[in-house]
Amino acid sequence: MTDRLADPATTADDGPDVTAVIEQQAPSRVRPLTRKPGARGIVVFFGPLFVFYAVFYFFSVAFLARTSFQDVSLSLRNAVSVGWDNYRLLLDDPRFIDALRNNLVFAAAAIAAAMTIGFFIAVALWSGVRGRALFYAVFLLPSLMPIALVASVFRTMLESRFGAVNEFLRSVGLEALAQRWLIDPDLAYGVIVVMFVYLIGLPILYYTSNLAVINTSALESAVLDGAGPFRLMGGILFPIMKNTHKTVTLSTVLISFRAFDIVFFSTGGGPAGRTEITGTYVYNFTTSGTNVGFASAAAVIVLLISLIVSAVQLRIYRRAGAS
Amino acid sequence: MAVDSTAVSSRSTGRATDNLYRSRIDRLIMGSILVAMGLLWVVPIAAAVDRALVFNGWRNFSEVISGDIGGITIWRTYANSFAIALLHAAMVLVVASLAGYGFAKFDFRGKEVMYYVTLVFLAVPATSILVPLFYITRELDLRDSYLGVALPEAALTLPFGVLLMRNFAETISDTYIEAAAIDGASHFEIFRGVFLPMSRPALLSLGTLSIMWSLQDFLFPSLFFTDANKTTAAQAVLRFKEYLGATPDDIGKYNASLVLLAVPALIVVIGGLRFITRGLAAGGIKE
Amino acid sequence: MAGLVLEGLTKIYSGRVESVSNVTLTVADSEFLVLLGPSGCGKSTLLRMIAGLETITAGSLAIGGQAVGDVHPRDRDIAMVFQNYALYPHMTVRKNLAYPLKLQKVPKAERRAKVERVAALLEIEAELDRRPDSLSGGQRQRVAMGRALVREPSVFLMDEPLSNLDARLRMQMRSDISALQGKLGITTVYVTHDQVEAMTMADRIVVMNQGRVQQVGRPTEVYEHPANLFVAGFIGSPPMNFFAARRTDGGVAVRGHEIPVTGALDPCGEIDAVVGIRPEEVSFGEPDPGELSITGFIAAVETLGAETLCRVEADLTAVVVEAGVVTASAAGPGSFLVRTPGNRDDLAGAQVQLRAPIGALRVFDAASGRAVGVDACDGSARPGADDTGQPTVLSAG
Repeated sequence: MTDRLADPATTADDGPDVTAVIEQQAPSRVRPLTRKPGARGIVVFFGPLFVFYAVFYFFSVAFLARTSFQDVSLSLRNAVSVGWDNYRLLLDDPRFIDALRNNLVFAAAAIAAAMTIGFFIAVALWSGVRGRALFYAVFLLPSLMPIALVASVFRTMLESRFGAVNEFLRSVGLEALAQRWLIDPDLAYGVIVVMFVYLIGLPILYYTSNLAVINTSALESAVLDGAGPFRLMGGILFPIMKNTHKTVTLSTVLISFRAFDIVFFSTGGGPAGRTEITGTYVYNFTTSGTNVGFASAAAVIVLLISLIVSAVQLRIYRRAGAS
Repeated sequence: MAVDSTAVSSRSTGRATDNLYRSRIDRLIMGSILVAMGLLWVVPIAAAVDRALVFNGWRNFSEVISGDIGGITIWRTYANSFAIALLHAAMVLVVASLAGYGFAKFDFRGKEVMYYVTLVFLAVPATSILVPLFYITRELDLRDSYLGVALPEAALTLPFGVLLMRNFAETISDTYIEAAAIDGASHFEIFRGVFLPMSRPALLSLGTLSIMWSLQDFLFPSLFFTDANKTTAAQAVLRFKEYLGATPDDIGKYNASLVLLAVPALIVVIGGLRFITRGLAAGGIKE
Repeated sequence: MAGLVLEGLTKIYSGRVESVSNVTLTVADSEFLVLLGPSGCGKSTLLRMIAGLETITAGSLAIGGQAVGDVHPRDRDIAMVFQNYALYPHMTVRKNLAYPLKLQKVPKAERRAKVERVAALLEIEAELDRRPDSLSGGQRQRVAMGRALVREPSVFLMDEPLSNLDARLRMQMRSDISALQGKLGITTVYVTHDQVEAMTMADRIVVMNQGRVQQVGRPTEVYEHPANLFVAGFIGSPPMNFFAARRTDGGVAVRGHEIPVTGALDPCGEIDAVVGIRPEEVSFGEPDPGELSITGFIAAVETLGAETLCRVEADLTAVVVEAGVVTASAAGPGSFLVRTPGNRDDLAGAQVQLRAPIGALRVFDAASGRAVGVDACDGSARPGADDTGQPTVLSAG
């Protein structure tokens, strides 16, 4: 009340400072009566979820933990306890270690593609081109289709004899370049990487969603300073979208563990286990049915990894939410 | 649903647009890179359509549509796929909206721990719980039933569903609930009469995503269906290959079937793209 | 119709923060009671306790003679209007109005008739089939009122119902709600931080601060005879001027005048007592012998059209009062606000002589902040704990 005189027109509270402090404290402690569910409320609202979790997660995890110490067939009868044997065998199996490594390599390729190609596409489309909806459809649709289909299309396209790629190469006289794409181990590996890159829709979607809400003032001031489009992308937009990179990275890692269909429908994990990932590894040992205990041990390890990655993701979100 | 602007429909970025493309050359370079990449992305699709026409042209398509392959028509696979997808979506919507409301609107001890446990299963790979699923499906006698596939699918979708519904429920002011409570509504009446109608956007997103994910699922149908009549569209990718992959003559027909098997997913994705992008963005970018 | 009896109502969150502290009040049947105070003073919490949205930590609550402390909100025969109206966006106005009746299983025909009647009363018949998001702010406010009215409750609770409206509409709705309440005679408890709403609508005002009731009284009573420094500073815009005074044997001495007080005074630091005067009680000119004389120069002038506010650097020991507590006293000339009619920007920088009637002065105990007259010496450091009485008027010397 020193510089400005009181304003009689203001009817809002001129509440003194002390009360402002109290106001900040009070609401967070408010627990109204309507927020108390009671025992019946808990049962009605969480019961269905609990049943699903109890059967498909809690029971499953316990079941896996048990069978992973057993020698048992897919009939799941006449189990013999074998202690840590399955785990020992598993960690001695180079194919399993390769599968884990492949998972990470494919995930890394997908992340690299997402943060470069995906980021570029999202920004380029965001900044306006004609036929934007069409472009989005082209990049997004494959990721939203059944992967079984997309992978099958890739496989038929790359078949040595009648595949579209080799036929095209032959028709333009480049027969020398026609390859046994899915049979040569290194090429097959490359094909899987290409498919992980091809399914780039989700990262584009995340970047696009966040671009729609970013504060463009930093961008505008850079423009006033004379930055060109590529400098704006790399120097301003890319660092601004730090949190989206995190989202993209984690979601891509998670997806890579769920990407069973990509490998299964293109190379089947072959040739000779070169492109095996954890999904196909567990699937093959489970469905072959001879030693389900061994498959369970592999499943337990994969499950643990997925839970850890999820926990990390949740922690990062929580920290971002708190700040 | 903190981020509401969706990929395809956002148009409000006019100024940033002008900034990024000031010169014509910039515009040209950007445009050509984009077009080149777009073409690359279209190659597989074009190849599939091209292969679908070899030897017999459009007759490949008409044969796939009219005949049956390995004892099942393509129409039947569509019907199977949609039946499971709808069952799956219905279960996810009911369970996730109940729990989402509970997590957002109730206070009780251990709530956040419970929520954390719910979300930690967000990324469980289907393959990793195959062994117990075999057992559960057998014991519940659910082999060769739609439910036997839809139930485990729902279990895998639920963590995301709960996340989405809770995030949305948090945006609905408590005063709606208080007003209804004063007027005499019970928790369940509030949920049904006030919360669900107000959650339409989230329910549409989650429902569309649930249908889409179910249509993508190959693993569960292929493991739990022995009856050829139950074959889903995604599963048929493999089954059709067994019947059509053998002779070169059938290559066209097989590719035609691949194109046609994409139809259910295409319908859902194109029809519901708005809901899909909105839902994925809201689930992925939690703020 | 029913009255309310609040008996020592207390709300403690997390076992520590006292949000509402020992509130004892009686609301008469058909009375319009306004709970007034700054944000965070506990007025909304008190209202929500009456509604049954918050549990009661201690004390008792009766509506219409029945103890309802443990009764579910729906069984308290109350209706509430929320600050954000809480209109269901997916329902038309008609359905919004009918929803409470539907929940109470009122037959359809009766529901319809009641909705029509309330819509007619509030003049929203034309809007019945529209949805809330297509309505103007004022219309939404009416619908919210309607949804509360349609239940024909015995008590009406309103939580800052006008704060989302613009100034013009707020003025209109103020008189509409007052008139409606007068016509229907429904007991009403109305929460606001807006003293204009409180002054114009209330039968009685309850001023609250930090969870405690500071004063209960008719609007003019609260304005003219604030029970303590908090009320004196909170009610009135611009607020009351405060300055220090010396204690004498029978009262306080202010610039050669001796004002007798009935209670004892507790000194607070260097200040014996605080004297307050409203800006409009001070005028320019030579004082009569029975009047207070102040001199100073005008440091700032704010012209508001119909009136002018002048800040005078006066030859008084100013006292800084924050939230009803004396926090400092300036040794030098004190800032002093004067409110005078008309446009007086010619006064800027002028040396002036001011006058004020002794009868307009209010004396407060410096330590407790309490208006002197009743019981100024209970040793409490905070302003008024359970004031329900009215402060005694000082007699002019």
